[in-house]
Amino acid sequence: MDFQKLIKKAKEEQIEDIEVYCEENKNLRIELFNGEVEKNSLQNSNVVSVRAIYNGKMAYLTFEDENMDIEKVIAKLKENANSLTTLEEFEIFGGSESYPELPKVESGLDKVSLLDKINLLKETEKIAKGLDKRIVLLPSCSYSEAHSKTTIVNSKGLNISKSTEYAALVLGAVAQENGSTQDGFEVKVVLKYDELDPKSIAEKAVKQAVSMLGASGVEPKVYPLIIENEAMSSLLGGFSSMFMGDAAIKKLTSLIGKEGEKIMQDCVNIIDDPLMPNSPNSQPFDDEGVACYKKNVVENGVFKTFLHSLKTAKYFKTKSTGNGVKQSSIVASGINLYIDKGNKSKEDLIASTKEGLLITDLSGLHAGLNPISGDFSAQSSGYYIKDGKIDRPVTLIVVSGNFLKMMNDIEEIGSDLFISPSGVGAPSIKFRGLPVSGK
Amino acid sequence: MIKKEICQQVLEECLKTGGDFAEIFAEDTCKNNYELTGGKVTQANTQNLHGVAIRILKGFKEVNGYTNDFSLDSMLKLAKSLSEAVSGENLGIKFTLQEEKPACIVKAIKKPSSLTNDEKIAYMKKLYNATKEYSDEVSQVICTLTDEEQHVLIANTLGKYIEDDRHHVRLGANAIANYNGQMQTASDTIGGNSGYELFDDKDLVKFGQDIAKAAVTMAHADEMVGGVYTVVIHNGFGGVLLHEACVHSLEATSVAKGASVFCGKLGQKIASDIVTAIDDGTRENQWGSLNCDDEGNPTHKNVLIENGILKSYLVDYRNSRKMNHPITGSSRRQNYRYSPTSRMTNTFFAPGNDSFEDIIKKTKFGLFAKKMGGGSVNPSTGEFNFAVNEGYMIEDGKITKPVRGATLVGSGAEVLLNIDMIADNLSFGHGMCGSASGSIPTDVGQPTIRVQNMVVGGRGAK
Repeated sequence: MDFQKLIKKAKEEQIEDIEVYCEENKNLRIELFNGEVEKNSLQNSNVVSVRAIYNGKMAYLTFEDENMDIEKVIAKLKENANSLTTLEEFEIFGGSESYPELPKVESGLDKVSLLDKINLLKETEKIAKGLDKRIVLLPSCSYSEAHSKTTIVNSKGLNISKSTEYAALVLGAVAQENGSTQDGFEVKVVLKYDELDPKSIAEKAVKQAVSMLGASGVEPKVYPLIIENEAMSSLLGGFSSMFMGDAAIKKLTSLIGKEGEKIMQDCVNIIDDPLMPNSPNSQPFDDEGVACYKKNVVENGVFKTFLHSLKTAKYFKTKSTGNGVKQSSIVASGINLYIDKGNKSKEDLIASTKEGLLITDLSGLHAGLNPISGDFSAQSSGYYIKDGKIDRPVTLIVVSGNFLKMMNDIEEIGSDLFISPSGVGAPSIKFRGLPVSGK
Repeated sequence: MIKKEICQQVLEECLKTGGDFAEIFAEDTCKNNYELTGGKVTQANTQNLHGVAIRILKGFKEVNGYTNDFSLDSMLKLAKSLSEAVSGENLGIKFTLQEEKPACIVKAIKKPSSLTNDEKIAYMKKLYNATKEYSDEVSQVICTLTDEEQHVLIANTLGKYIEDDRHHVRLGANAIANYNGQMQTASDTIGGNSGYELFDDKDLVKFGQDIAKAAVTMAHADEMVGGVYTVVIHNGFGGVLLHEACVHSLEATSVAKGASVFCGKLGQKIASDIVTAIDDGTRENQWGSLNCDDEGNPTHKNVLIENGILKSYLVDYRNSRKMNHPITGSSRRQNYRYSPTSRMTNTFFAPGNDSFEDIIKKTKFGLFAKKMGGGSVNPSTGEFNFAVNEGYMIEDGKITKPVRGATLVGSGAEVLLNIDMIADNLSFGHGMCGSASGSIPTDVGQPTIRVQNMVVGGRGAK
């Protein structure tokens, strides 16, 4: 579709402003099972999203059929805009004064043959099988890569694009011994093909599975608890909506009106850094064309700001923080949102624990948490710690807490910051006490 | 959508390098989503999906891909690049596409495309008002409405050429109640593979009031005290227990790889004698029903567990080759971007002989999980969890005070053996199930059941 023609026609039809967001994707995915390629996918897509302000309201339309009729696009946008009764104000953005430059990364993805990528998987599987006799199955071993280019063109004269490329290796391992079955799962996402290391991925997945064999419950009570970095980042991910402008507009966060107030312990800094090196989410501008920058959401325990898109910023009479992220519409979201690291290693955190638990996995957070109140109850697994040492694996226990209360009950923050492929991160954190249920 | 002759040509191209099966799945889909927040319409968005996926099998090896361009050139190019990943000689497989008509299990009278935005939004407003007006403690209500018209074409080298229409409509409300600074939410949805007539047949006012009542009750509730309990799980969405704790582990996705706790257990006892579990994609206009699955095969009523004995897995065409198990009409995909695999449709425990009142009366001390939230399972270990959105204590055979924040955890293999009572009040709840082939509409259902000896988590202190 000719976007300039669409923009011109829209203006003729009394649309105040219009923006085209075009995403071209080229993906490859290879799944290996028992030394054989089981599935191989080649995926190409081209998705166009148009949004337009008509009678002061913003409507969205997404389509994939490039022969879509321009008149129909405009008519549907008008119909959708006319249905809105929201009091929110909208803006289509002419562009920031300048944009940060991200370091150029040569991914090398196109220089590696398909056969070599398959061989990388075969090697990963082989290493994993050889590491421990108790590994009985590797149910998932896959390689995927994504190339995407996003272009934003609008009636305010903006015409910019951004690209990302990354590769990912995934390994799942199942271990069995004496009637106990446990699994481990490792995902590694890299910007450069050469950074994929089959050995370290195999070791992590295998260690995770094997070390959990024979896991059982614990005596239910309040324990000092170290939540390991990956589990901690999923907990932050589950509660991140409390920091978002959209939740504030809808009154779905308890942080409304608390900017400048102390909400967490002094040692807590929560940062959104869209310019972070080595993250597949890093980008020079958000999905509305607003320049991205690093900012503190929580600084030394004080709540500094909600994350904003153009719309949520307008509502709160402030500026967009460059966090407008395209979903079915544009919503405010963290880009690389993380709890900043402290000084002590995870081993130090364990060593200083007389009796407690190291939680390595929190499951079911999508259902077991209340992002408004901060309450959660999650199926958990990990290890029982006795006299500063890991004593035995534990599973099928439930850890319950309240996110904001916990962040005021920290004993120590670890130094092992982990950022997930979806751009949420945390180090391991030791909490003074949380209730644990189990058999 | 794509002419038979063109499909024939593309499928023939697919088999040139030794593939023994090829399939085209094309779709043209229009989705609308609407949102009403605080009484104002805040979203009215439209999305069109338009893509064609091709896959080639050789044994159980699969090569797949997709494009948005329906032209013959583009499809031939895709077929050629996919077939290059299959190595071998053309097996000379001959086929002629024969047009088939799908069954008529789901049909829409008031199709989404035949209603204006205003007519659709009127349903949300009615639900919003009923929910908001229930109590002053209801501080916020967000109503959502989604509709989807999916037109699919499936053609394969077994000679299948079939087109089908699916219409999914779903209306829901999320109520937030605020009592003394305690904010609690409750939500529910009505959904079907149906037209908007679904909402005409429902009492939206009562539906909204029940959601509001649950939110208010939970705002006044005490925290659940963790421990090991007898748990009575109510009908409807309570069926998420069966969905998570058991049937995910019966999907070929994990069984074919030997990665399920239920591998090799056909014909064996895996549940208590009173348990019969069914996955039935043929229930008229139900949220998880389909005229045909995404491989173009008719959906079935599959009895998975009968009187405690494992009878069947859920199996798609590719995995049927590996497992030597017949297909079960269960192959599904979120859309053309996902390769299809075995999934659930409407999954439920068959009704038993007890009454709801009897189950409560016969429970001395326990948790009544009236409304369940979502959950998840690890099929390798069978360990599952799910959230109780509305819970009450049972004391001396009576439902007493409300409790919030309860989470149930357990292992699938154990929990099925611990079901000791099943009522006669089967009903269904509507969910979106996420797994290997994306997020799809599925119904969960059950009568009220009682489970002994479950681990319940909670923040309350003894």
